[in-house]
Amino acid sequence: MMMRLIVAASCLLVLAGCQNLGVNPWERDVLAREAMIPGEADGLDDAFDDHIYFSKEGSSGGRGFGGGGCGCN
Amino acid sequence: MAGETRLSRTREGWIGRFEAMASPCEVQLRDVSRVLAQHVTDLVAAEAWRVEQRFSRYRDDNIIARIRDANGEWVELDDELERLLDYAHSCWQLSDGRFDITSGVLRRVWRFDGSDRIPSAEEVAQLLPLIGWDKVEREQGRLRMPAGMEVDLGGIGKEYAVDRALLLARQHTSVDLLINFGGDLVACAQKPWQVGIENLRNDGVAGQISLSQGAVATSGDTRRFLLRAGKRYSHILDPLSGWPVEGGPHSITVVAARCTEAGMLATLALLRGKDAEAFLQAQNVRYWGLWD
Amino acid sequence: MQLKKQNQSMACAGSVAKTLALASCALLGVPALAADAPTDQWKVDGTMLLYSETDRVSAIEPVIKASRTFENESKLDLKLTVDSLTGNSHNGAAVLGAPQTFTSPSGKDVYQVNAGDVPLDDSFKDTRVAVSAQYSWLLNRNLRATSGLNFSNEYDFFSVGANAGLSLDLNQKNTTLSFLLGLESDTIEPVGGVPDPLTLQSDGLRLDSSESRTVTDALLGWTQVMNRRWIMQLNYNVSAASGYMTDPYKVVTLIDELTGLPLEAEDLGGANIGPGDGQVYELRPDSRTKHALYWENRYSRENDDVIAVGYRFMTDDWGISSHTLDLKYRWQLENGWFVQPHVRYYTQTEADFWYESLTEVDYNAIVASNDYASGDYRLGKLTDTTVGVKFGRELANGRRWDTRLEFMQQSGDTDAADVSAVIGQVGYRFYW
Repeated sequence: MMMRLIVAASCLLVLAGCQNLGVNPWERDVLAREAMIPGEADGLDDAFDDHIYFSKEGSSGGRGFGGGGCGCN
Repeated sequence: MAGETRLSRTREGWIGRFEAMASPCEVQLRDVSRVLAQHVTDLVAAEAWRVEQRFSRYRDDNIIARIRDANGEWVELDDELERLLDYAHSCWQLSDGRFDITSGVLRRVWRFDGSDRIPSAEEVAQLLPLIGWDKVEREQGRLRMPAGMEVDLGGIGKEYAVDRALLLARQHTSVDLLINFGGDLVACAQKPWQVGIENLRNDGVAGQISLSQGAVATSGDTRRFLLRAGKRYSHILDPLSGWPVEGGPHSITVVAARCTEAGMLATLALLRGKDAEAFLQAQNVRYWGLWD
Repeated sequence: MQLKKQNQSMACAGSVAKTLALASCALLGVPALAADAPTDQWKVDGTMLLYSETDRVSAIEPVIKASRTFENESKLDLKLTVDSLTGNSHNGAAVLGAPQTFTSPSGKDVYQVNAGDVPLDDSFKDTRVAVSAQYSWLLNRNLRATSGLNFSNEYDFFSVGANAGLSLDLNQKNTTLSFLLGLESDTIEPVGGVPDPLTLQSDGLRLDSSESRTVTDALLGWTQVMNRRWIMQLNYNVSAASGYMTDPYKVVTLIDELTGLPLEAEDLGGANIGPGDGQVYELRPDSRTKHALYWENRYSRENDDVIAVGYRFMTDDWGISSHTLDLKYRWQLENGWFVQPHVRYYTQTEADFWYESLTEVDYNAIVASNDYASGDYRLGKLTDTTVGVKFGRELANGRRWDTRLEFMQQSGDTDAADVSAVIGQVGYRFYW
């Protein structure tokens, strides 16, 4: 009986690390969580905040269109 | 296909155990609560049982049975089975026809029970017309093949279940995980898992690998063979001839990104017989083989 | 023959492994079959916001939003907002060491503010109702179109807006580029008519019954998956408004440059309605272009906690530029519980035409040169700090409840800018 152990350059193992930016489709587990999706992570909070600060400050916009449709500023 | 899961404490977390696909299965988790460990184990077990029930060739009530019993008629397929068949088709192409999910009919004459019952050349030749993926007609959403033929996803199913289980578990947690269905396993962890590669022939250890992202799968079985007149017949059958592949290793263990890939690389290598090692070296993968 | 074949496969080393990797991606890379949340149902978010400033404005704002993703992956969002405001609002005048007299927004009533007090108009009361609908659909596997409409109505204000955009997925959906264009048309019908800007409030001169403005917005977005735990978004938003941007209910105080006390309208040739009535209606430019750069990062730690960092830089042609920093940390606890502390810091420079008050000389120069003037503290130098915490729990079947409590403190160069507010919110989400 002959038992062989070959340690080849294991490129597949570090497949995930080889990519410059981004992930493979099956590595989206963490990013698929709602808390990791810009614009959805905090539900309606973003819209409330945009509206509050639009009416209390001189700035708006950026995240989306600035809090418009309001006569408060 | 209900079963039960059992949870026990380990040094680093929890291990959930259950039976599926005629194998002991386990999920190892680090740094989690008992509740989450139980939840993830239940998810993984449910997925294993689901895949087993849907694609097992030993059942009479699933799509595999319907295809077998279709008697030359069209059979409707669902998305999941279509993807599996697409995958099997790629493997068939990659292996020049040596990996063929219609070759299961050869089991009618080849029974690898350690005995010396070698079938006659006529018995084998009679089955060859029932083998051949190229005889299968496929259209969008359906499949048709000559009466008497069958498909067997046994060469893909367990590894597929492992990968699927990881996908599902990952939707619930990103803690360190190792999912192991009877030696076919996948790991996803920050801190690597130490995986020992067993030599089933003499209960020794063939090697060890430190695995944080990736899979290990084994193809072949050192206990299944036929012995006649001092000649050992491996259970790896070449669907083109209907006879065992000669000169190759008994089993091969491969490391790859996913379990389905690892398992198929091992299977394709076995099908190459004495060229198995050259094939694996050309693929640039880490592997262990068990020869005579 | 056999040998030839052998050589062929050896020639392209690793090709089988590569093809297998692609094939197993196709097998497994699709979204999970058993999705967590029901997809053939409406996702309904109901949230109630309470906003209360110390001694000033209070608001109750219930919002209900329903979203649905259809089988063809198109998505529909419907939203209804009711916003009910009451309380006292800064009328633009300076805080001075003498009593001041103003007219109510309609011009019919007169009210006085004591020396040292922030001039507040107590007749502020309005209810806004807004509805919006947004629909997005796939043009092909990587290109999504979106289009939306929104209406908002309150007693003296009506707004209608429409938007349309495209988003393109690249690099295995690791990169998303989006472009969105929006148009908004607003009609302002001030109580008692549109005041004649830069004239004395005591004279009550009115021009028309209504004014209008249009706002055009464009947004370029780049969302990038950096790695398995880190996603980033960079937006550039340009907004061009033209038309009536003046606040019809705000004035600028005219003061004596020696004493710093308010001038009297009658000394300036106007009607006398009481002490310190030298107040002129404000006037802002009839165009404004804003540029905003927004950068958001989300990072998930190994224990599933999420760190979110948002930064915005905005600058406009009124002379305002601002920095906003927004930090959130989401602690993922057992059994679906989470706690999320939040800190926001905001700072802006003042608009070129912002004056705490005007001397008669300044005022005459502004009128002579067709210039602008506003005393609205929101256009002055301003620093805001908000701290708060949100907590909630994810329940079975995609349901979730959460609640948050935040405190905001504003401060600037004048006492009028000292505003403190409490934000309270409760929300519940379910599938229906």
